[in-house]
Parts: sequence; structure tokens; C-alpha cells
Amino acid sequence: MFDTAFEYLKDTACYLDLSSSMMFLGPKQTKRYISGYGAERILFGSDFPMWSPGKEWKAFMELKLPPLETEKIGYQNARNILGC
Amino acid sequence: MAPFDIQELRDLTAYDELELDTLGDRKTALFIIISDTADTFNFLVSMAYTQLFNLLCEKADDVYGGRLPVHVRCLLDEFANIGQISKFEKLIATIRSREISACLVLQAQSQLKALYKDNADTIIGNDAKTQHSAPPFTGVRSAIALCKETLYLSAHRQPLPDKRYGRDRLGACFRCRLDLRRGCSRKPQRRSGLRQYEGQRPSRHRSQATTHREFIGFGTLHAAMEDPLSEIDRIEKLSLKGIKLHPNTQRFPIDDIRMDPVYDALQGRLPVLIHCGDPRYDYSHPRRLRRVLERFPKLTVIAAHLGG
Repeated sequence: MFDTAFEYLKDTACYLDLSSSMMFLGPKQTKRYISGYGAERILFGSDFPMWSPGKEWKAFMELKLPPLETEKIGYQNARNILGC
Repeated sequence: MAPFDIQELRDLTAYDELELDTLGDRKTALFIIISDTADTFNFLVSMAYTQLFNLLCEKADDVYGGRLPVHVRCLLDEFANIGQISKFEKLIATIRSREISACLVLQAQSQLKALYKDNADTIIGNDAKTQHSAPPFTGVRSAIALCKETLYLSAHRQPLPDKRYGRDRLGACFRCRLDLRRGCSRKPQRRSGLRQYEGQRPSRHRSQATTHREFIGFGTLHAAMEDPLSEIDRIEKLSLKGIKLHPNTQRFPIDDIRMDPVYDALQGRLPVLIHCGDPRYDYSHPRRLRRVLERFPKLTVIAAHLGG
């Protein structure tokens, strides 16, 4: 389904969040999608209360993305959307 | 041999379509379901089990050097009512080393005695020895253990890629209940954590978002709402920061025509977080989201779960 979504959404302007996806994709595929969509369109998400936010954050940090991308996905993009 | 007068039974046994010897090659689930009141065809199941054990042992010895690559576990529910499996007491002693185990579910051990007489002790003895590797159960304990497992599976409804996440998820739901109890001084209800959140009214989200600064509250809308536009106003007044839609649980497609005025009104006002993807439903298919994005280019949308 992630591939289908990529086909339909790659050239749109929507944001996408990482909730309930990293564990199904694994680090390698997750990174592939992040670079495919572009880090400025990705938001971190834990799908709480499905999973533990702490563990999801740990899994996200283990992707070892460049600091600028981590900053965008983990904070800046959400801040821009929510305007707070 | 009387049952073989029935044509259907003759057809059923004429060809081997089950390929019982392949069960240990890869992960396979085989369900054998028979009537628990009429015992006319019990002998068929007994035959199937005898065949199954013999074939798998042969395969393990001849092809895999003594051990099957995938452990085959037989859950024999109502073991006392499926008829006697010939030489079961010998089989149970020999199958263990080939990565095959049997879990017997009985109401009481006396049922086993009635069926297998003196050999019942051998069967129980063999079961007990293997408890560490693949627990075979007898007696009441077996039923409880089996129930636990069944509950564990049904709680997830879908296979999880990693057991750690399964346990974590249950833990998270539990913690969430506690959090809610603290947050809104309401008795926790027998619902999943997710439902509790969905069932809440926007005003409750607001109160939680103000007491807990770590929460940023979103409201929700529905295609069938009579006056969604005034609800958007209300959500804004409550200082909620966006809209969350879950088309699969709310049961309307993302590109529902009734949502057009809603999406139009939300452009440039509030972001919309939409659950997206899930092969079981079509409501949240990414192609529907794409249609909305094309129609409302100024709408800020977050597709959850990477759209898949």
C-alpha cells in the first residue's frame, strides 16, 4: 500500500506522517520514502495510543537522518502547519 | 466401511489435495473442523492425523536430516471427541525430535484415560517433558493457556510484524486509560484506547489540551453532519488546531461529495489530518485523497501512515 500511496501522492503537496509505518517498512525503506517525498513533507508520528511515543521516537532517531532533516520531520514541519 | 457408501465421502478420499507432508516446509495453517456432536466421520480425522505424523516424520528424516525447518504444532481441541488416533502414544514420543508437537485440549485427564487406557500416562508424560520448547497442554490448564493465546491473537486482528510491538501496544492502551482517568476524572471504560479518544467531544479535547500542554487538540467532522461549517467555527473557537478524519471508522470516502464545502471552508484555515491507506478498506484509498488535493490545492492535508 505504501507503494500505491507513493504513486498517487508523490507529486502532490500533502504532508505525510510516519505513524505506524516505520515498523512495517524497516529503516531502509522508510529512508527511501522520506527522500522520495522530501523531508519537508514528512512529519514524525507515533500513532499513540497504538504504540509508545518514546519507542517510536527512538526508532526514528535510529534512522540517523542528516540533522537538518531530523529537525524538519521531528519539529519544524509540524510547527509550520500548526502555526504555533 | 459403511460410511464409504456415501458418494461424497468416496470423492473426498479419492485424491490427496491436502499435501500434508508440506506443512513443515513453510508457515501453514490447516484447519480440520468436524461436527462435535455426530461422530460418524471421526475416523477420517484420526486417519488424517496418523497420516500427518507419519508423513512429516518421513519428510523430516529423508529431506531435512531429522528436523523440520518450520515447527508444526497441532492444536487438538476436543481431543477426546475426535476418535482414537492409532498408536498415538508412540507417535507423541517420536514426533518431538522432528519439530512436531501436539497440544491436547481436554475437559479432564480422565477423558484421555477412557480413550487410551494405560497409554494415557505415556501421553501425559511426553507432554510434560516438552513444555519448555513447545508447550503441549493437558487438562484444564490447557484450555486456559489456549484461551489466552486466542485472546492474544484476536486482540490484534492482524498479524504484527514484531511481537515487541504487540505487547507494547497493549501496554500503551493501558497507560492511555490511566492518563485519561487522570485527565478527565472519568472512570475508564471497557473500550480500546483508540476508541476512547474518538468518542470524545471537542470540548473534552480542548480541556485536555489546556491541562496537558503536550497535547495539541484536533476536532473531527463527518460527511453526514447537518451543519459542518458552524462546527468548524466552534472547533476554531475551542482553540483546536486542526481536523482529524478517519474515513474507515467514520465510514465515508475521503472524496465524498458532501465533504466538498467542508474542504473548501478549511482551505487556509485549519490543517486536516486524514487516516490514509489500509488495504481492507477503500474509504481511505490514496487515489481518493489525490482527487481531493487536486480539487482543493490550498487545503493543508497530512496523510497519516505515509499514505499506506
